[in-house]
Amino acid sequence: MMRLPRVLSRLRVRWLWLAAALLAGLLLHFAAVFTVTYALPRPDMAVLATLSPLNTLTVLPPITPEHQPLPFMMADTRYAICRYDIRKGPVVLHASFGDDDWTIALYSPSGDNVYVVSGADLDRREIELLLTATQDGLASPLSTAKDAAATSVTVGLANRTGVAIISAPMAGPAFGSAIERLLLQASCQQRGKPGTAEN
Amino acid sequence: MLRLVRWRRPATAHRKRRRDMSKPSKLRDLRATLALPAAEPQRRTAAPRAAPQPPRNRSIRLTGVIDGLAVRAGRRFVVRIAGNLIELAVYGTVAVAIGLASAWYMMDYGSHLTVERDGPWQRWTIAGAVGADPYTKAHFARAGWLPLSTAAAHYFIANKDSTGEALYADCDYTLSGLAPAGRRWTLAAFDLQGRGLDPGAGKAVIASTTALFGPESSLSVRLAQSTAPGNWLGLTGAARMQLLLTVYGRTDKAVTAGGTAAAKRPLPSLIRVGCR
Repeated sequence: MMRLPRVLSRLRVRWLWLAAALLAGLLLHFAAVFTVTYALPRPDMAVLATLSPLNTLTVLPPITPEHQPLPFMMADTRYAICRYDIRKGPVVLHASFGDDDWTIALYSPSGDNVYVVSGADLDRREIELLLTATQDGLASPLSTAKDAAATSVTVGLANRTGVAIISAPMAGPAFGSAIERLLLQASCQQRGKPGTAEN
Repeated sequence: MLRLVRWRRPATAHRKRRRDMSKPSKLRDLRATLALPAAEPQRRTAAPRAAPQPPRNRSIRLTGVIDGLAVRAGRRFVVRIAGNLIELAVYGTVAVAIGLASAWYMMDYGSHLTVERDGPWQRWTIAGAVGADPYTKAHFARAGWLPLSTAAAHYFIANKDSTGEALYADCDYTLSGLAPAGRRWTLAAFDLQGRGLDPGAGKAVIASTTALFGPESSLSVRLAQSTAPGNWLGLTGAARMQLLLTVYGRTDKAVTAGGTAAAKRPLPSLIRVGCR
């Protein structure tokens, strides 16, 4: 034990090496953050890929502690998801909102919420989103006439793939079946395919 | 072939004196009187030293010195390299520890640049936004959580109560204060991985559409495993938990601690009542 002070007294701090270590630590810090942010696959996207095929709307079963695909999903909310892919053409997402608290949110593959609309933002309960690439976003807009049945919005997307999530909060369990019926009527399909809104 | 030649220290004055047997000495005189054999000169070390071999000639002695110097220089080189490697490992460990620990901290807990704190509640200020900073994006990427952007919702998370104690599902808590401002809000309990807790007989989610309010939009919610009157958020288990308060609507100034003083509405406090 008496040797420890002697050993410590003989230690020299190499300031240049220490500065280099701090610089290397800083670089490692940024590398770790950017790797997690941009390079590693997101677990939520992997989970959603198993739940829903491309360009198809899937209504998730009620959220319970045993069945909760993603973290922090609310048990009082019903969800429907659509993994869109607009590389082969625009995708039309059609839904009928039950009330002002319904939302449709679009997420990029990196998890950014690129677009969100709620029932409170709409004049009508029906909404039709045309998901298209940014460069040809306004080439074929949907009808925006006042007498149109649905509020039509064209969303230009920088990413060709992503996820759309419809969230439908329930005021109580009694509303569950009505909300599920509305969600089952919603659709997410490539434009021009049978069953989609023709323009 | 290298040979190691022992280097001898030159004899100093006192060593010379000790070896000099010709000079008179009281101890030697006493030994002679008592007919005792003369004592051997004392040696400093217990181990017997090998008697130095006399150099055969000058050239051999010079070669030995050169060889000894070479061995010593080689040994010093090896020692220096080993020391540098050890130092490199120490500084490399420092670099890795600093880099990874700071990255983990900034992604999990954030800083005042990314996270806003108000009592037990904390909020990632630009969650879900396209232009969010990498730490915010990394935080939600690690959690596997797809939040709405701040234009549509604000997420306040509490994993400690108002006194700073961690939240446990086998404890009872009271959340009280003014109801959050916003088009709609919800309160729910989750485990640390974001899985919802089984509410038992209580409610899994307390929402603004179903909650019971007091006078002037005051709100009181009981979080407990046993039945409670009023707004009862059911809990089960004994593990650590966290609360998520989600406020929907474009009401930044009304709901965040960073709003203007006039528009600021404090978030409810969270007090532990007791534990089982």
